[in-house]
Amino acid sequence: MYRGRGGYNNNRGGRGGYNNYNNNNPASNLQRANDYVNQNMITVEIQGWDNASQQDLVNFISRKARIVVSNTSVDQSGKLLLGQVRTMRDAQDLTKFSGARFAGQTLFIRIVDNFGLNNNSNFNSNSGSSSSSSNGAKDTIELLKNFLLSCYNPQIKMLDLQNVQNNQILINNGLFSNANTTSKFFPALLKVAQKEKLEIESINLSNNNLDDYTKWLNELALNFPNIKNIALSNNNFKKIDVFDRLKNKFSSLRELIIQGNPLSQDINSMQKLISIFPRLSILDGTPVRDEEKLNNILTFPINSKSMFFENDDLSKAATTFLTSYLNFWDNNRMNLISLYTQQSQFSYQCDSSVIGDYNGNTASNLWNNYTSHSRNLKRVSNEKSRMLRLFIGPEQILNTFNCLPKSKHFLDIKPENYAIETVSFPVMSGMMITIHGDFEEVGQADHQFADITTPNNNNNNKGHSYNRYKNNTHNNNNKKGVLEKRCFDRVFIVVPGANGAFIVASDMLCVKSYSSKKSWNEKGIKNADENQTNTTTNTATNAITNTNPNLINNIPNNNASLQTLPPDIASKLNPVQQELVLKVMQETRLKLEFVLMLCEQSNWDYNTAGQNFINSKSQIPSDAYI
Amino acid sequence: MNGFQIAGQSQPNGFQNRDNSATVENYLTKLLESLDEPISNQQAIMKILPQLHQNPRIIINGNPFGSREQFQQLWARLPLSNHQITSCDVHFIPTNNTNNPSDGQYIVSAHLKVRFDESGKNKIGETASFNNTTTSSTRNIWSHWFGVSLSLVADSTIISNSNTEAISIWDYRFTENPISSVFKVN
Repeated sequence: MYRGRGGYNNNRGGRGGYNNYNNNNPASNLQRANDYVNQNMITVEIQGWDNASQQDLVNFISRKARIVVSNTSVDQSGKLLLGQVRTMRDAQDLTKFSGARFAGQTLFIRIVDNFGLNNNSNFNSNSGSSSSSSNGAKDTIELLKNFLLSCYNPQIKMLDLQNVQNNQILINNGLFSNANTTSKFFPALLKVAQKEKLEIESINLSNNNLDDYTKWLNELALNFPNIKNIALSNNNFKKIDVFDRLKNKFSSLRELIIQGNPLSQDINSMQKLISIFPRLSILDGTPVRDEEKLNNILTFPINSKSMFFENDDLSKAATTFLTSYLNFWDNNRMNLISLYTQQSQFSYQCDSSVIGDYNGNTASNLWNNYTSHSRNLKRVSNEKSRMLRLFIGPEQILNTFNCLPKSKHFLDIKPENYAIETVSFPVMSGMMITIHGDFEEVGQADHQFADITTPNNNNNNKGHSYNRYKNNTHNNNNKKGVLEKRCFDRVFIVVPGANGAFIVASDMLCVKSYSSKKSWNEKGIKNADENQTNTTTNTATNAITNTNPNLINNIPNNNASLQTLPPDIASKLNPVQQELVLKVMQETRLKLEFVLMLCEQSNWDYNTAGQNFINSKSQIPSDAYI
Repeated sequence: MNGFQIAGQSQPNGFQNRDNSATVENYLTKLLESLDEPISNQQAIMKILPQLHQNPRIIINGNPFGSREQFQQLWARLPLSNHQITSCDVHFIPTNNTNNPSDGQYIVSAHLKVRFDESGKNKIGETASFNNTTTSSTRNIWSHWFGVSLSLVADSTIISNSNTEAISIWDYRFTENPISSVFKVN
């Protein structure tokens, strides 16, 4: 074991040093250290070297590539040199040295370590070329596969690997001919088991002379972390440390057999074993935990249900609202403006923390599209900064929407990726809708947030909101963030407006790192009381999948009145003017007569109308709005 | 429509601009601390989220709960937990009470991470071990982190007194599961 200060040859017996084992014998320590290194060496094959001696080549590589090649041997043809390097990284670095000129030839170097079993082993020693080496690897894999299947019992999903080092077939094929091949046998066997997709719940590794330095258990944890039963009887485990290093691995281990090892004589170590493996219920045949009680304690008692609606009315209202809302959010956010009044609030928070599975994207600009105006209170502590990130009223909110990346939700196609809760909000006769799920960013925003810290000198822009955004074309494209798949939570407080239309009083969006492991969508989730709530859930799911996402009238009922002009007014306007009036009316929510006044004063220019509206907003009477 | 002002209606002068977010943030921290406290006796169970209304809307993982007491009994039988807020936000919606302009509702949306003790005992000390000395002496073994989305609605009284029964909606949902964990959320 390599731990503590002092290194392998430290003869002073310091804490935790290698000398703590084997009675402080330096020669033994050195031997063990060398064994460790030898067991993990990687074999490489070098061609194009034979104009010089082996030693010249080794010296050349050491000098030029700073990599030591040892244990060199030459095949019968005298053209192929096999050597070993200490680590896979060294081996990979060495392959990059292919193409270097040496003694009038060009070197060709490749890694030939296929599970480490086709090199330096008896069955492969007569290979005279790389092709025969490759054949040797195939033979070895076939040998392992046959051996594996002979040890596997599919009925009880058990792999019986007792006393494998005395298996005559394996010995005859040279799998235990030296330390290198011996050490690589078990990892190779597990890789073949994975390739064969063997389901292994139990493994018997008894009588294999395994000791505190074995790597077999680590390899097992890496390849089969969910194994439930392990037998290790009659090996040579002496210290608890080897198991201590397995903490947080084998999270499903329920039975362990350790008898016949020196360790099993130590009561304290045996008790520690129980705490190392939290699901362990049986140790050496003796129950140590109440398995049923343990399952109750270690399982959250409430199974996830993806949908909850307080009643059927809310189910219909919420699914209609969400389906339409997300459709517009994805396709034309302008259409959402009528949902927001002057008192509506919107803010978003981005949370870059990674919980659960890691998606691997570490791009520095991963969150650039969100960070500047994110109102994550854990990140924004200044009161003024917090207020600047709270968007109030339809203009500010819509402008913010247009500064967020274009997106695509899949609520109708993959409703299983979404969870929704809806409860009534009696204080305002409304409802609170919470939705969780994921979306894909499909394009950069049309507009980009202005630097929130940069003062805007345009005196014409008195409106607070307009100072906070600028057209995308004026911005530095380097600030754009990566388009990604992300998860989100969103909370709406929806209240009834005029004519029963929906009004969003509060809208909070939390954008998070993508996680494919959604708690409500875990495989195998079977709710015991599914029948009780299936009706509501199914109704909701059906509603989502069956709702026409273009049902604009389902959102604000008064929106219909905004789509056409009275005939007497329309007759006095040309088509362009009619279109402008409708557009301004939708965006400002002013009554028609005020919109007409605004458009006339703005010479029927859209931008001027918007500017004039902002400039005079404070003087517009409240009854001028719809 | 009851209470919410639509466009053009005036609202209490400047109230919406008053920022109580720091107070609400501290309040949220306090709520989570009450979820994470070890429980030494039966009385301590009542200290789990005492800020809930007597009959609030409690939704856990998409399941409704009947009462605060029911929720407290459930939570007491979980292993020790440890919550951390990774992100949160708050909105205030006034209820337009002319006598009290600060009257209203705080809407909190938070993303949390939570882990649970996997040593085999729950908050009230029940253990599955046949040998109590084995686990009672062990330290907590924390699970990997789970992600949780929390949305809640609280009365504006929390600004002046964080101990009142102010929470009318408590929606707690696990949203992210670790790749492997001894503690399971199904």
